[in-house]
Amino acid sequence: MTERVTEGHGGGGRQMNRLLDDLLDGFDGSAGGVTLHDRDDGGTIPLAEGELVVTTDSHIVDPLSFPGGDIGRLSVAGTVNDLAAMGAEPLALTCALVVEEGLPRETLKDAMDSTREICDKVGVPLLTGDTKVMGRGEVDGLVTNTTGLGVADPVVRDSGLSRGDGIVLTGPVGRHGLAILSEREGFEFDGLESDVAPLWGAAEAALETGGVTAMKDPTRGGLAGALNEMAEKSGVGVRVRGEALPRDAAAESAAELLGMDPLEVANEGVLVIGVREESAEEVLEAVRGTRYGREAEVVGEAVEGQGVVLETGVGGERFVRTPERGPLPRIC
Amino acid sequence: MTLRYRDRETAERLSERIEDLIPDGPVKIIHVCGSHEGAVARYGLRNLLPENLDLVMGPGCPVCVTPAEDVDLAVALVEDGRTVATYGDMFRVPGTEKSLAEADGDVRKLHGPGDVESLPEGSVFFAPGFETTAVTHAAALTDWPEDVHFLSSGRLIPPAMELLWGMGDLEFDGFLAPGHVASVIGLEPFEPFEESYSVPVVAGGFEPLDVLAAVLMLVEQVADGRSEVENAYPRAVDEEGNPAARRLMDETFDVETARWRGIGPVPRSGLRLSDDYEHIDARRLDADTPEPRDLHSGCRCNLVLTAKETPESCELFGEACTPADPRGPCMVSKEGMCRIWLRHGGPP
Repeated sequence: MTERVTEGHGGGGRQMNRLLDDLLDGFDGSAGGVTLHDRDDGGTIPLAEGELVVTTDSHIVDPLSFPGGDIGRLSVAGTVNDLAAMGAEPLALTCALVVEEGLPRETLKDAMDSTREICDKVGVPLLTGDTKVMGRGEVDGLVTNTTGLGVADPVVRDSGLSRGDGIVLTGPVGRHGLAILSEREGFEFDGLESDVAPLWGAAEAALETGGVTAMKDPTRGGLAGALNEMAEKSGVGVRVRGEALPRDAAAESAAELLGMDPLEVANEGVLVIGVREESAEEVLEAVRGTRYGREAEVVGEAVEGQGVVLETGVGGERFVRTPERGPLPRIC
Repeated sequence: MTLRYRDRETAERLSERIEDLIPDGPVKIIHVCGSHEGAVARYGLRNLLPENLDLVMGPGCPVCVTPAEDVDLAVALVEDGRTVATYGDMFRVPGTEKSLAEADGDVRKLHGPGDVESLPEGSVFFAPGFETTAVTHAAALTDWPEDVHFLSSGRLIPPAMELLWGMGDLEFDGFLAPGHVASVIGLEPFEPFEESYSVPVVAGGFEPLDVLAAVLMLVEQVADGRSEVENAYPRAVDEEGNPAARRLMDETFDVETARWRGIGPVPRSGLRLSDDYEHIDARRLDADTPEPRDLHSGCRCNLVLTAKETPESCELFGEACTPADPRGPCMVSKEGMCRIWLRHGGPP
């Protein structure tokens, strides 16, 4: 039987990782800094001072507009956050559009208005782009691709955790994926909105303390995937205290009703920050002083061993594993 | 905000009480329900239990215990040109040669029997399930389209518990019975365990405190040397069960010896459509099926389903056997032990 790509291969979980193991084998992938094979949030090119960080994202979200955001805001925030998670101040973005013939011009204009608005807020220019139109049914509405350039000095990796480091989470998890799923299924949860937001402000504040050891933005694969990746790449285990996780009542209700685990659901406005033990409170205070970091908490720590263990709300313990595949397609 | 049945302090008190009461030496409690395993794994409840208390899972996943021959029949009917509809959990369950997902033809996932009206003439609804699902099937069959066939793979829980008890090579001290099943059938079908087998049975719910409370009641019985049928889920389970639902099941299905995947035939455990429904019984349709084979090479679902092994003892687990490419049924359903453990792991 011919092996074919399935939805799960794009889910940001273990299934996707296995596909990438196969596809990326043989690429050199290095420009002297962080490489393709590091599978961090971006790759880097060393400069005279610091490193140029390059990251790219495609966006296939359905629906194009959802509670809390739309594809334009998502495109910019997603790319800015990949740069931020590498410790890079965003310098410029590109944006390529693939549009389905018949898409209302207004829809496209709305998406670009929202792209512009968020670029202005972050203070990052959209430097160049590309526009293609495909026939009806050949692509669903609108697909975007954004590339981000930034400079980091030093670069922050997702592999920098050491035993004893604290884990700071900048806000409640699960809101993005659950808001989109609810919109798609026609459920209304009072107050449930995507968290989609640019996080350079929160990252910058954390970096200024000098106590940051690692960062990652937990998008597809959720917090479960991000923490496992950080733990594995860093050669440590992670313990998370369930009671310390920032909470969002609407997201919790939605997750319960829809049978999802918020830890496995995609986020677009949350950073996981590894911090030196002695800097944890300082980082927390700095992050809480930023617009999208007000609900930040120290949720756990890096420990000897491997894997991610959650102390559950009732005081039990379980492993948190990288999801086999994301629970939802077309989420970002 | 903490939900009432997830309160940490109460959980700690229950946990301490279990620790206080448990006798010395190993105590093993077996449950037979994917929803119980889901709660135990999700809330990490094994870590709240004493070290000498082993809480294990038996054949508690309807999709997992549906024999390969039933999957084969559904596959053959699809490849004969019929539309086959079933639950999403059944879709990737391997048959002898292929799963419905791999079958060549029109296979549809339905949320339940309420959607069968949408199926084309000559379709087949493939209906696995324990008592809780069988009731919804029985209710739907009272107003069933004449041109849609029904493939009954329903199974009953108490006979499977009797089989586990009778296996002899599996020693355990009590049953945590599924509360939702008890809410349908009541407590009476569990009485043989009290009267003939002298093993405690406690019906429990599915929130973490429900599970801990039921385990505490079982440990109390073990400590006292009692073997009674008790109800730890009174907010849902009535001693009589649901008489209307029981009557409906009795009218719709005949009970017969039926095969459980990887386990073999279990007396009085299968639900066959009664003669009134002969005209829509999919088992009467002609189909060319292979000699059935429940287990594929290396798969240990039979041992997992009978609480003899944990998923992690299987070399295929999470490697050659994943939800996207399952070797055995326990990796397919969200009620399957392997799938649950792949998601939440065993106790850390």
